[in-house]
Amino acid sequence: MKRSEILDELKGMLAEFGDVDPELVDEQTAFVADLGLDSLVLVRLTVVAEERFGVRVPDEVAWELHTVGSVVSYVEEALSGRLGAGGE
Amino acid sequence: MSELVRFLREKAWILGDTRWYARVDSVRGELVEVERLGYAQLDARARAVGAWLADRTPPGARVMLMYPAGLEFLAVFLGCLYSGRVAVPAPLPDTDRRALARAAGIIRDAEVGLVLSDAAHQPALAAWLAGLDPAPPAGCLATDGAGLPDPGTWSPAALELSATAYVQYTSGSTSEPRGVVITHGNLLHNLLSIRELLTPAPVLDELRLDPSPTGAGWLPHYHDMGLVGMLLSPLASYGNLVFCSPVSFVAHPDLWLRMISGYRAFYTFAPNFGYDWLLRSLKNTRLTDLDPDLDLDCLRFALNGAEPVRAEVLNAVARRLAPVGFGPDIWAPCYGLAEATLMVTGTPCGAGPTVGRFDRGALEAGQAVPAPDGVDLVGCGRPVGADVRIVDPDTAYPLKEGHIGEIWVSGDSVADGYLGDPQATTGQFAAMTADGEGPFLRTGDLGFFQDGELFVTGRAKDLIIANGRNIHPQDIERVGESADPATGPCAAFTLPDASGHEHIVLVQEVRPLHLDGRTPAALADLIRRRLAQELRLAVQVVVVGPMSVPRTTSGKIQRSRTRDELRASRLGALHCDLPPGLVTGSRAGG
Repeated sequence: MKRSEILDELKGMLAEFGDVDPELVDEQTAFVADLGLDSLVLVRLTVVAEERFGVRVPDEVAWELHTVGSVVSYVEEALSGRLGAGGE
Repeated sequence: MSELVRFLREKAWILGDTRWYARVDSVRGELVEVERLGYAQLDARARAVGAWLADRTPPGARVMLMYPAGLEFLAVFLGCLYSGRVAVPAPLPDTDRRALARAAGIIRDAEVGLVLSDAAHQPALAAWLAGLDPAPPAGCLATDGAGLPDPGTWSPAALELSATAYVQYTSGSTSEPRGVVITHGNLLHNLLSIRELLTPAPVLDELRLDPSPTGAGWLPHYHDMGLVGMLLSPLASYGNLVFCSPVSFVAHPDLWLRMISGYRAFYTFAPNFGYDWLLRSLKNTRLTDLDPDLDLDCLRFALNGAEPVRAEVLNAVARRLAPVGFGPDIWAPCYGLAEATLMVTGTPCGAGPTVGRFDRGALEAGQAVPAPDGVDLVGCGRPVGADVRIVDPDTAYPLKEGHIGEIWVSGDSVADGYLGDPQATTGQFAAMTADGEGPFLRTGDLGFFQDGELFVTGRAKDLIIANGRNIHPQDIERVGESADPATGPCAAFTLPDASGHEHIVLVQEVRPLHLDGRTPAALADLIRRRLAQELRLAVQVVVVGPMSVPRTTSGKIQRSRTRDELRASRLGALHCDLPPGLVTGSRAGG
């Protein structure tokens, strides 16, 4: 999955669960400081992102992912790491 | 064996595995049952845990339970009851990183000797315990991996009903976590009170051909409503339970509806925010798109408690779910608190909710006067196995119907007190009325009775008194939150100036995305005008960034902490109506 694809998927989730206009989102956007998302929306986003991207986001990692870009980077690394480990 | 343990175990003897507990989860959008235990299986597991604990801990030892949502927690909790060990439920740090710091405080406060968890969480918890400074004597063991002894080796502990059953830590609205000591007698009494509400005589009569009401829920087991109301009351009421973890519900709110529909649930339960979250998440989804067979016709009792019950949420949920069979008369608002085990007042199954409309000005003056154009308040039902009084908090004189005062409670569900805090226990659990009745539990909540039904209007310690008017901060906050798309959660309270004059302050979080180029000062101006129009109140507005208003672990805003943070200039205000001298309070003097 390419970085831009991950970003688009994430923007889609933000629109679906947080009513956020995708036009207003870039990699620098912070979930709480800029978008003002509440904790229920954040928990929902984390779980659904794990399911859709097929990656595990441990709680202590999730707490540190404040911006859209940091999530994109984490998913990108997790996906490439898993493919490498799987020997495909 | 205590009477409580006999009461719970007799259900397993009578019903065997014909009644059950099942946990479900959402897997690729489908409801999947992930575990299930019948009553007899659960009882066997609890006896095995009881025997295991008896080998490892002294009688009465406090054992902290840090489990994910699931049946292992329930079996271990029952095992503690069976063996006379005192369970101390606490959350895992899954959605809240402060959970571990809080758990460390509880271990010290309750002198916990052993922490139990499952094999998946045990290594991390053991490492965390070893790294605490000072390191507590408690170690962490997993109960699901190691072979437990044969259930037959368990021998019943001789316990009176006055023995401690568990310690329920509460987040409270303003204070630090406090452990409420719940006895075997408290729990037994409250479970019987809940059963009376859920299955009153006419309902029992109707259920006689299928006497196993199924409950459906998702509440956390470390809160009183999740522990007593969700996990333990089915056993007491000959019922079944289907449940999912709180995180599964938050991530997949429709799972709640699928549980009710798929398992033909008779009752469900949640605080106001749960119903509100369900509503928010459904948005414009067509219910039949979720599941063409979705049918809530089976649901007869939807308990709503633990938070103020909002009339607009009851109406909106009932309207939204009406096409799939949700009737407005299944709402069962109730009132309770951990200090009284759980339930104090409630609406019996079949009765339907009472919504009253009251004059706002009269409410502020401490009177409930019905008015057709007033504010909607939802009644929380009648006392269930409790003696409830409305008392003037200053004079301790009992008040008549229609007068607002502090809610005082006595009865067998009222707890022994706060663990290791005799001063707070005396202050809150041993109140006497001015005419010599008592002791009563002072709840700190305000309300009134009308036609025998309790209406809760707010918390005494947060009450704002301005120019002779009593104003509940929730009323100001509701206006602030709904003033503009850019306004989020907020906290209202009073702040005295050097002359002792009280100013009303609203600390208002802003959603920067919705500011559309306006300044925080312009937003503050808008809120001030709105408050002036709707409540005729002059309020000083402080605008802060998202998530800046302090909250409890369960997400309730903390007014007094917000006030303290404001005075210490720690809120990082984006805009402040207040002059600097007022913010720093009396200690600056200029």
